Amino acid sequence: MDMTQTDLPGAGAIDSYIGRVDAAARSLPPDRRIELLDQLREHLDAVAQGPGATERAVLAAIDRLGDPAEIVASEDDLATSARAVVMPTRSAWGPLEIIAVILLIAGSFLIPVIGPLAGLVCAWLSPAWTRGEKWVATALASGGIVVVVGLLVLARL
Amino acid sequence: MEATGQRTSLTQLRRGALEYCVLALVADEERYAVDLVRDLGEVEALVTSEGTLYPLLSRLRREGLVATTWRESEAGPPRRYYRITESGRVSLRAFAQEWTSFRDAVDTLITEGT
Repeated sequence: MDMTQTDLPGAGAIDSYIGRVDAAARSLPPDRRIELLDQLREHLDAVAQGPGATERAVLAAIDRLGDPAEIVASEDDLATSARAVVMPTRSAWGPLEIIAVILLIAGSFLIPVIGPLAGLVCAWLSPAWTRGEKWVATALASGGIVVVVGLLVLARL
Repeated sequence: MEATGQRTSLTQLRRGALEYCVLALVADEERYAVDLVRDLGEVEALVTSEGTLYPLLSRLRREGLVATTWRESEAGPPRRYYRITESGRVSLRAFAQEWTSFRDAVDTLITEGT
């Protein structure tokens, strides 16, 4: 942007350091990542623009700021508690959940007993439902399985 | 194993106390972010790397414990200044009281134990 920036001592080292922080900060929400990069650049620019600044002073300032991974890790630590509240406690439906529901509803028409059983396995593997919901599904589905097995046994007799 | 555990608990203690040290540093006057970070960075017992202070400052701002102001500088881009808010002051005062009794209790027990 500003052409004079590149004339500052250590400009290349600053760019490369900011680039490393940027790469390390990919896990952060965009607004946090931008704020962090702004703060660090402001810090290093202030050193580079200081009276009698040298490339060595800039390199020392970069050294004192520390390892990009460590900085990002501290941002992550601080964010964990805040993010835990924002994060949905249940994940959205994916292929596993859809297959589970189809098998639980229509499984007995496809392959009696095995179909809904496979549906139950899918349902239990899914993170989208609570334990309670999974037990309800199991109770309902096994009711159906008991009926089918009973009919089969009666038909044999 | 023991050394790692000790390092972890020291890190936690440092992290817990550090934010109040930041609040204390901006309690009397607003401070330029870069100066604030450099001054704190000089205190080796508290700060391992200066860069980790910026995420802390951002969090204090998001929590409303400090406020930032942009000020024009004679040379270069505008500068970010931090100062304590009323809610930050309440929080700092509460910590200062807790800290004194906490420190005394730990001191007493550690002195007795060694």
